[in-house]
Parts: sequence; structure tokens; C-alpha cells
Amino acid sequence: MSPSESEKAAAAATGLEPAWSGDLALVLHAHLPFVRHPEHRYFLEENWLYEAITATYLPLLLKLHELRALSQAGSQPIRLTLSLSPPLCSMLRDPLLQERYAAYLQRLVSLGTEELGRADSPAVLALATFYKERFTRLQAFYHQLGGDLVAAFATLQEQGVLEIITSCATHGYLPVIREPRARSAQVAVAVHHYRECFGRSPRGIWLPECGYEPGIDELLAEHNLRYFFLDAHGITSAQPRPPLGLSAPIFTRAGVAAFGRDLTSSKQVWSATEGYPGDGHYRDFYRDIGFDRPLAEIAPYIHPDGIRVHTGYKYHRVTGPRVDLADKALYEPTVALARAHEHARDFVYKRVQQLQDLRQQQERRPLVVSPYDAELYGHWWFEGPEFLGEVLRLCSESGSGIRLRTASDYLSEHPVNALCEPARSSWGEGGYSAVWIDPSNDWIYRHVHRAESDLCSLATAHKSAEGLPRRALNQLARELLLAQSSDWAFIMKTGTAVRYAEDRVRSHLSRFSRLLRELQAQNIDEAWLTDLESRDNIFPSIDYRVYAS
Amino acid sequence: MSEHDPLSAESVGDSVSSPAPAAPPASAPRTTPPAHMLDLAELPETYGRDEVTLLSRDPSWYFVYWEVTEAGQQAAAEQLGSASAHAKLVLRLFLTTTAGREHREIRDLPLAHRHGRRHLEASRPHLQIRAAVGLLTPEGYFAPIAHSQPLRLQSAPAAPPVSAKPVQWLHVTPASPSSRERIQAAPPPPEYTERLPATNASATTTAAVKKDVSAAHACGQVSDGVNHLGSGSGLGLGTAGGSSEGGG
Repeated sequence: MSPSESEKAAAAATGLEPAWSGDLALVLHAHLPFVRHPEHRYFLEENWLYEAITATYLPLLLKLHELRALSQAGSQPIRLTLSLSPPLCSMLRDPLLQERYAAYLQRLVSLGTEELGRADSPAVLALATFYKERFTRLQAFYHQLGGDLVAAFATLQEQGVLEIITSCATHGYLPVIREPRARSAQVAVAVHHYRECFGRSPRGIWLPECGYEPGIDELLAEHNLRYFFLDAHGITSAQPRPPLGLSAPIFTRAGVAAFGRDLTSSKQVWSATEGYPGDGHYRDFYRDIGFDRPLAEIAPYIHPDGIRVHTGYKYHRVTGPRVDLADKALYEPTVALARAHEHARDFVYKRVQQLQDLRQQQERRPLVVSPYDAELYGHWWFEGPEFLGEVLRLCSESGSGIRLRTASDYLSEHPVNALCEPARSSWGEGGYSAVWIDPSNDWIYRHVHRAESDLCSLATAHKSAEGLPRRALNQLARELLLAQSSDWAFIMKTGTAVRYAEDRVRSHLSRFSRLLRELQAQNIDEAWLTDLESRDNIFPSIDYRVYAS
Repeated sequence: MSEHDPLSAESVGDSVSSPAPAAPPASAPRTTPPAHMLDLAELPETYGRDEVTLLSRDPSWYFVYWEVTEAGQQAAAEQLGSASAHAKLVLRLFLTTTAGREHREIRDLPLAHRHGRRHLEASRPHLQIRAAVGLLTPEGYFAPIAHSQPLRLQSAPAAPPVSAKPVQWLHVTPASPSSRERIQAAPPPPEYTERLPATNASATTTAAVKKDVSAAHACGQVSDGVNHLGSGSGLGLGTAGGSSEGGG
């Protein structure tokens, strides 16, 4: 089997013999909804960010730094695609949230000191020590980064480890956004924000929930985005049928590439029954001392009103399927770490096998695209960053038979791809929009669509607003964007923090309505607007004219 | 008040993809109401507009919401004249099946309220739907108050058949500081054509290319063999023509 010209060129560029079976594109999508409540000293939902920084983002950064330091001459470059959503970047760069996170970390370390004194067995003492040392190390690393994780990720991009892509401005699920200008604004604001964060334009985008319908590709092309990702059926049901299936991207008529999610590798990590994270040796997520310890002992580390929360000190392991929380066995970190490395070897072995099998069916070296929510690694699957790091290390070894690639790398080597129209799809349950258009959340759309129409009309009619009206129009844009976040509908559907999600939608739309009335009456309450700008402070440089026709 | 179709509670059929990576929010669910949120107010029941909107939920289901004003309803009644005395408010669905032989159907669903929302099951696959809210008389006269944009439902999730025509290929050259992105029709890449059956696929494709490019030229769609992004509908990407050099 002779290598193609592009493969020969790629091999020459990397100094490698074209002996690999195919390429692996690992993609992590990092996103959390914008949650920032300066009006409260403690706000439970802000913990979503703090827990994700502690369990996922900092460990991921640490692991990537470690891998970069360990990389040897002759090894392949580590390449990982990371989508950092604009709300997440905004929160990570926000001084108030940075300050609150630093205090959160300090509380974790202090709790560790108390736990050392409370340990009732050598095994629990070892676990308390393990956690305290871990949080102390993360605290030192956080301060070493100056609290700026976005800058740390940007540096890894400059060093060639990461390709960072964007997502929609507030993770709005595009298929349910009615006004074309409002859809466009979700992309335009995201691209502008990316430039502010990373000093360059994004090459690709993670469509929120992989939500796609025909026409979205044109929108992406207008903003010079070269590629996006779809769930598998978005590609396999494309018209005409893509000749290389999921093992190569397709081009849409707009010239944008669509990459399809590989289901086999996805299932290995995500499946509740067969996936790695269900292994009995891994740390259990749900059992936490925030719920186990007497209230008097744990009170300073939970909600001030006495609401118990996860603290991060979790002393038990999954143990087995359907084991009651009370019957969980104690966690053994060294055993779990070894298991994560075993699973990494298994993952890489199966990818090589998969790529070899695909190679039997096609001449072009196949590509496997494996996208995951970043927060799975670390937050839900505590050992996930170790697993991921080991996968990256094994793939980068000379002779691994597999190459790590980003979507951009692939398109540079393979600029010719089949022209097909991807199918309407999402990666939500059922594969379409049923999660976001459900009796639990469908009440949203009438109100959000009205706000979209109002803002598009207003922006078109007042393209040269200045002063207070301009500030009001910009804030209207922020409130609409925040109401459009796909997270609220998702939470309502899954029933996790429903009241909060409903209140968020209602409050943003209420602010929008009041501001709209004041603007139309030329009677803007400047003090209230200033307060609003300081609270919902996402996208400080937004220009409402993205909504104008 | 909102209307809910009882069908809306039913499941939506077999999953066609693996379950979503649906990691719930990082913290445990709240056990108490959330802290007071500023500026929280009830949203209006109505907006004083006549409108109806359709959204696609999946290949089998779609969602509709509507609002009509008293003035809108009055105008429709005036249009019907004396026939309006027994007219009822309905959601009229214009359903067109686009796959195979075209099939058209009109369905009228009585509405108890001037505003509301429903989840509706598609009666056939490959539906194109348009909705209107209006007054319907017993004699069958219909006076619309608001129309929706058309909605095309996703076709069934089965993989489409392999096309008899050769698949078309594109060569996309990214934009650089000195040039715009370029999108060119291209011949299949060598590593793809190598495996095609004995019929000379490259020659066939090239012949098709020449024919299509000629047609495109005749329409004034292609001026230099390069399709420029943003040049509107004249991209000529329905052709498989262009440079065999790629990149360009």
C-alpha cells in the first residue's frame, strides 16, 4: 500500500516514516454556563466553576505541562483540540471569581488540616493526606499561573500542544434560535471574544450540543471558521453518503469541514455499563465528607445556610455496580492510578486496531475523532486526567502506530474532501433537538424569540446609538445572550437545578424587558443599568450592532 | 395559559446515537430554593402579536407555539363576514411530503386559547410543514391570522443510499494574510481513486467535470476556475470541475 503524496509530505515534515495506521483527533469541550453573583457572598451554583477548576482544568494543565517537559527527541508531538467556551473563558478571567476561587482553594486546604486530626484509621489518614497534598499542590500551581488559566491554555496553544477552538457566545443551541441575526450574533460575539482571549482568530468551533441544521455551515463560513464537529449520524446520514464514512471529514457547500464523532471510542469512555469510569477501583463521585461528617464538623465548608455540598474530600471508591453508598469500600489512589494507566493502554491498543481495520477498507489513512466533555475528566472521572495524559503519552511514542492530530492539522494535510450536506443532528439524547424542546422547557422559546425579534429590530433602527442608549443596547444584547444558553433548557430537562435555571431565564428576560421599555421611553435608569453592567458583565466590549441588518 | 398536547409526554422513539455526554452540573442538586435572584419577574402571558412558530424536535415530532390578538381575530372575522358566527379558532397545518411522490395534506386542530404551545407528531416522513392560525367556519372557509415560516423535518436517520453519481470533491485552501479562502471543485484525491473499480473513475469524473464546468461557464457562474467564498449562489459547487492541481 503506497502512501499518498500528502502523507509523504506529512511524513517529511514530521520526520517520521509513514508507518502509522491512522490519525486520532482527541477533542475536549470545556464549558460551563455563566454563573456570577456578586450580590451574594456565597452562591451555591458558583461552585460549578470552582469544582471544575479544581478537578478538571488545573489537573489538565498540570498534566499537559508534565507531558511537554517529558517529551523526548524522536517522539511525536502531542496534539489536542480544546474548545473553551466564551462563558467559561469569561469566568476564568473574572477578577471577582478568581478571588473567590482562591478563597475556595484555601478552604479546601484548611479542611484537609482538620481532616488529618479527625482520621479514625491509618487508611483514612492516608486519604486525608493524599487530598490535602493534592489541593496544596493545585493551590501553588494556581498562584504560579497568576490565577489566569486562559493565559495558561493560550501558552500551550502557542507551544503547539493545544489547538483551542471556540463555541457559541453563551452556548446557545443554534437550531432553536429563530432570528438569523440572533444566530449570527452567537457566532460573531464568540469569534470576537476568542480574539480578545487568544490574540488570533479561531479556526474551528464546537457547535453547542453539536446542534446542526443546514445553513449553519454558511454562518460559520461568514465568520471564517473552517471546521466544526457533529455526532456520527450528522455525517453518516449526510447527502450524498460520504465515501469515507466517519474516517474523514466532509466539506459543506460553504467550504466548511464537518468532522464526525467516533462512536466506538466514545462508548469506551461514556458508557455507564461498559465505560472505564465505572471500574470499581475508581473514586466514587457521590460519597463525600460534605454529606458524611456531622454538621458541626463540616459547617465552615458547606453552604452558610447549612446546605450540605460536595467538598472534594471523597474517601471511597466505586466498588461495584449497584453498591449502596453506605457499603462503598475505601479508595486506594495508587491502585486507581495503575488502573487508569491500564485503561489508557487498552484505549490506545483498540484505537490502533480500529485504525488498522479501517485502513483495510480505504487507501487514505483513516481519522478517528473522539470528542468528550472536558469536565468528564477529573470532575466525574477523578482519574480521567491521568488516563488522558497516558493516552497522549502512549500515542506520542515513536512506533505507536497512531498519530495525534487536530482538525486543522488534518485539513492542512488533506485539503481535498468529499462535498456532502451534513444531516440535521445533535449529540443530545435521541440525536436531535428533543432535549432542548421538551415539555419541561418549551415555555422558554416564545419569550426568547420575542426578545430576539425586538433586539434585531431595535439594533437595525438605531445603528448609531451613543452614550446611554448605546450602553442600554449593549446590555440588551448581553441579557438576550445569557437567556439563550442551552444549559438552562438542559437543566430543566434533566431536573438537576431546575428552579435556578428557570429563574436565570426569567431574570435575564425580565431585565431585557425593563431595559427595552426604558430605552423606548427614553427614560433609562442609569444607576440600575450600571448595576446591571457590573453584574452581568460578560462581553464588556460587545457591540449590539451584530444584531443589525 | 398554555396548551399541551397529551402526546407530548410520549417518548420520541429509538435513539439513533449514543447517549449525550450529559454530565450534570458539578454540584449536587439543590435541596432548597435558590437564593433570591435580582430583577426576577413573571414573564408576560402575551405580547400582543399575531404569530405562529414551528420548531423541529426530531424526525417524528415538531413543536408549535402561537399567539393571536383580539384585533387579529376580529379582522379575520370581518373577512369571513356573516359566516364567522360559528367560526372556530384553529391551527391549520399544511403538510407536504417531499420524498417520492408528492403528497399534500391539510390538518386543522381546534384551539381553545389564543396562545399556547403543542408538540405534534409528524404523520409522514420527509415532511415540509407550514402552519397558520385562523378562523375556520363549518362550511370550510378559513381566514388566517398568522402564518409560520416553513419547516422541513429531518429525514429518517437511516444512512442514505450510495449515490449512483460520482461524489464531488472540494479543495479548500485556507485564507492567508495575503489571500482569501479559496474553494475549488477538485478531482477525487489519489488515495481515494486508487481503490475505485476497474471502470476508469478518474476519466469518468473528468468528463463530468468538463461538462459541468462548461454548463457553469454558460451560466456565468465560473470566471477563473476558482470559487471565491462569499460570492453568493454562483459558487458553482454543484460541479466537480476545476483544477486538478488543487490548492492553486
